[in-house]
Amino acid sequence: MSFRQLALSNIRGSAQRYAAFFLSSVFSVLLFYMYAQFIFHPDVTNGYIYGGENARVAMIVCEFLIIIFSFFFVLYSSGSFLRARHKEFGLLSLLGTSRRQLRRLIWLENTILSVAAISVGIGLGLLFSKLFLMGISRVLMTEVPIRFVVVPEAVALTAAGFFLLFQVITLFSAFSVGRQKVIDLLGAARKPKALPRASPVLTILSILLIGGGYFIAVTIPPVAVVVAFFPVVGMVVAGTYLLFGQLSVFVLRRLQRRPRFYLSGTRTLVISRLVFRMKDNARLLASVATLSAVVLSAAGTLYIVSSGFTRAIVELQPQAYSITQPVDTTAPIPAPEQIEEILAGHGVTPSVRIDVQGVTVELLDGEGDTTREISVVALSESDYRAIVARTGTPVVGSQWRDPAREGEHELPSLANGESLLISPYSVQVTTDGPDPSAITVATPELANSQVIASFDQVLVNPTPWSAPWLILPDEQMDALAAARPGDRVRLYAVDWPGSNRTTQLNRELTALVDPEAFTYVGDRGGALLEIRQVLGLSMFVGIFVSVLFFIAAGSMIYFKLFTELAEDRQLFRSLRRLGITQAETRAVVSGQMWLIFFLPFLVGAIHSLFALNTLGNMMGQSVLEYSLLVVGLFGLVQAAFYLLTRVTYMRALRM
Amino acid sequence: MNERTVSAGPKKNTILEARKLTKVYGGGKGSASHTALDGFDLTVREGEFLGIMGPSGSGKTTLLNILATIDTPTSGSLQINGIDPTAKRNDELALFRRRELGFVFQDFNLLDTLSLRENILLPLILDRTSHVQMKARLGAVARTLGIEQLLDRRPYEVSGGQQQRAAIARAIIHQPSLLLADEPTGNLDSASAHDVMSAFRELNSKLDASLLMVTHDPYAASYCSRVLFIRDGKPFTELHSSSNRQAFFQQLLDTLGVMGASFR
Repeated sequence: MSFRQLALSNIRGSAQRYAAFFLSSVFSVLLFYMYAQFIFHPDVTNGYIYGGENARVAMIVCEFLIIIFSFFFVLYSSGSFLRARHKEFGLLSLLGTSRRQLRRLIWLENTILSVAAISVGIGLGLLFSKLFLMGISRVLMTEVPIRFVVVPEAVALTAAGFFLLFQVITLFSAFSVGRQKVIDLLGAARKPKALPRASPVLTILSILLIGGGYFIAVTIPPVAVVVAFFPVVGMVVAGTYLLFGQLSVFVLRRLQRRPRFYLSGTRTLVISRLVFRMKDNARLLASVATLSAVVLSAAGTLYIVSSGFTRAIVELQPQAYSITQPVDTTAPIPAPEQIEEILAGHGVTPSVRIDVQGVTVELLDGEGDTTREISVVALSESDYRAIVARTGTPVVGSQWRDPAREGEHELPSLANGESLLISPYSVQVTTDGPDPSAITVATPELANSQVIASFDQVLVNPTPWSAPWLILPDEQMDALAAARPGDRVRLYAVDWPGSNRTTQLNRELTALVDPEAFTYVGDRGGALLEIRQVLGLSMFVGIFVSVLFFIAAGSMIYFKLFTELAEDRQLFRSLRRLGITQAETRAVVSGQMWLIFFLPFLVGAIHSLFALNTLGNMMGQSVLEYSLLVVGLFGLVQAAFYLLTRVTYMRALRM
Repeated sequence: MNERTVSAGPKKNTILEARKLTKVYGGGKGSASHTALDGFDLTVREGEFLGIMGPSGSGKTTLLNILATIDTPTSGSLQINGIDPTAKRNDELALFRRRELGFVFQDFNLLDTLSLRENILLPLILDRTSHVQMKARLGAVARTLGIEQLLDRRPYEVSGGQQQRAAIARAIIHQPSLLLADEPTGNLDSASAHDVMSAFRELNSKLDASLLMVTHDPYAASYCSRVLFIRDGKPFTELHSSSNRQAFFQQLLDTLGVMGASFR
């Protein structure tokens, strides 16, 4: 038998044990290839795909994540594979295998395994890339799906990158085995382990660290979050390690001291074995819990932030489409008439149509060195009243120059020389709007004008000329327009029922925009489209990476379980003689496996719920629903992995 | 020793009755068949301490596996305490073993994660016996086997002989109809072997427990009241113990000499 044959038969013999590792590696390669294929896709690099550049950057970031994560995953896994095989290596040495040969054997095995994983990964990548491109086309809302081509650069980069990664780790681990003594290798197999003990001090510390972290997360004022972030995360991570190494053992040992509970049915077997397994696998379980928390928090954050943006857009832009342009533009692009035409073409009757003229004026905010100059659009009082009557947007807050009128939201009839400031942004931000007493009107024609109040109110889609609006009495407005005809602007805005849904209509309206033209377009549909695109893209790209993390974490647990399989098989064989039924065997296996799979996940989920709650507080938004949705989805992935592992394990146990 | 069999008069009841047990391995398409047991008859009476001896490959392990209901005979009938285990399904068999049989193994098979107390109680725990009863039975069994002081230790903290005595305690705590032992002294030094065999004899004489032990060690077999020799799947001969164990030991050695087979 040649060395190569020995290596091959070794791999075949332990196929079941390597299965999860192999699949995780294949998935990493597959994912890496699919992203690389997009990154190097000729249509994307040539800029033919709208939004393609954003997607490209997101995927490049993910490629780095995948490589870094794969490195640690493979490093950890090879380490545990070799440790599980110490006895075998000891035996080979005893039979006269030289160190060089042993290293070669390990190198050969890992190389075969990695070449197989890379080939299968790229093969599946080619198979699924059509689907992937279709998905990403849908997310980017391209008109035709991105075409499928085999991208040689992507194949080359994936194959070379992962080959290098596997080789580096293989050489490293082969070298580490070659250095150990035969007697150590042989003896590593089975020394009975002493009963794990939990230190009460560390147990309490674990509760204090996690509880303290949670407490801070819940009570902290939003402004302090940035400062507290790293200390709190550090506390909770440390607490998590202690939770698995100490607290879990402590609780299980306590349960063992209650004979009426403990000495009943299969509980005895489950609990007594868990005490050992928890302690042995504490580091792994804590890492999995932390990883779960990170993935869940990231996914939740993405969702919450993008839904926050969506809400902001809808609140700040009350009309679906608006344009603002100087009145004396000779060829207005797009002209309101074009917009009306498109709407009519789709059979849409606007529910709101605003078409008014204003004049840009200058305001000064503050006094002395801190004075800011603000450019705003002045509107006449009657236009303002008409707009409010049509849109019905409420006044959320107000500030008055005359303190006696504080709290009034009633619009006063403006006398000559009086003006009103309408500030939309303060609707969203919790701070108050501009203080009217600090504002002076700088435009010379309005020298006598005084701002009597500022209202927090969303009027029309914001424009670059008008963060706030200035409302003037009609006569003064007419005089101003006559005095400064060059500063007149036309404001046109429409809204129609169901305008939040992105349709062909939005596409046509967006297509009207000429970036060169001196026209400001407020396109809510387009903004929502962009947000949806970014969210969809991040979800689409991020979900795969998160699933990779979860699969990898699951496969580490899977491997741990299968390393202990031989021991378990012996145990259940003797238990079978003593008369344990199949149902009881399943109960013992499930009870333990359930905890090992779901405890880290549950701990991670609770961590992330606290983290997302803090985020929600910062954004002034309740996030429980979203968070539970995200946690639930990943819970399903975890449950699938658990059921699969249990079936495989039970079958292996019966052999 | 339990209520189902106590009613026996001076003539002891039959605990185990096997008729024409035959086990054939292989013999499928083209493969050679091997007859491990060939029409084997066996009877164990209540309170009997039966030893089964035979060389490697004689069929004694096959016989024990069939009696232990973890293997089924190709043909023949088996009755243990009036029940036919071959007619039962897997899970029923598991419950049958748990209630009617006790096992002692060569390598003890105690669970490392449990204390000796928990190991011994295991059959009762699985059956959800009441705690009062568990306590009472554990006390009695541990006293008989002299391991009362060791109950809170773990298997690897006590000697091999002590581990085997704990294993015996586990095998009898549920008061089975029949105790099966497979080379119980195989992993023990001679002092421990003596300890364990004395414990068996004590169980047999004081508690009237029925025992069946498979062994190749004539010293261990000399504690039995009857020893059955098996060769090539058939009974070879049978010896009954006299009152003197030393003399019986000599008889066993002579018989082994006559059989002339190499023992493993």
